[in-house]
Amino acid sequence: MVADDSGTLYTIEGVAAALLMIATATIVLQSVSIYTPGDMHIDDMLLEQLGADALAVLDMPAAPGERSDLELIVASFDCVAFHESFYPLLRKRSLIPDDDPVQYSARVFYRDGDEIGSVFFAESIPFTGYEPSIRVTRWIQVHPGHDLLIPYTGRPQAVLFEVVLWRG
Amino acid sequence: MMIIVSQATPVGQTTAEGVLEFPKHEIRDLRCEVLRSVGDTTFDEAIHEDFRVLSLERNHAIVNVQIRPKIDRNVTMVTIRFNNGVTIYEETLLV
Repeated sequence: MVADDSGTLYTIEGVAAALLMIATATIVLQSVSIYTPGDMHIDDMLLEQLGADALAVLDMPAAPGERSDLELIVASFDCVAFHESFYPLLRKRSLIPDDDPVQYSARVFYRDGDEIGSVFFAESIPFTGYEPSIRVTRWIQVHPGHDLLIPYTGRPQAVLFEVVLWRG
Repeated sequence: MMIIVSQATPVGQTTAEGVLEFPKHEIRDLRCEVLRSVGDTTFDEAIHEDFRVLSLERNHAIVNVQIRPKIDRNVTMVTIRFNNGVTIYEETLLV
């Protein structure tokens, strides 16, 4: 029989306190998230994915052999229809209407001989060129009889639809 | 702790840059449009030139498409080559 067992009690207290301190330190350290410069690229990555997906949705034909909405919109040079169908796709993720404002500016690039030219298509707000932006592209085939304001070639041609995206 | 924090930067950056640089959408889109064009029989030298010049100027990529019709089997052999200096892609398939 031990005459004085208070030493055992101190040991138990010590062990319990140590466990509590380690648990506290773990919780505190795990709750800290470090924003590194690398994370900035992850935002760009998300924006690129969002833009490419939105264009892919618009460029999906209803059935094999049919022309997609995007092709019809580009061929008819219908900027309003493009804005009305493309912009809501970009803002689908926003929980609040004015939250997470993604802006875009679209142009169509075409080939004229060995030169390339471009024609403005649509934008949500004017693009100044200073915003940190990313670029997504989509090939569109237009056929003779289109309303696009590009030099008339009289043959089916491939044009590059280019959208610049930024947050602002 | 400091080692982990200092490593977090290069890890996040290289991963995101790797994904950003990889032209997944460009290649998929090019492949899809070329195959559709070949399927619609609208693919000719002028459209090939459209793809080549616009890719070079706007996407900084060299694109080359070869089509070889196989008359006896009623199919077309399509070879698509894409090279933007970082990513090289080549595919041959029958349409």
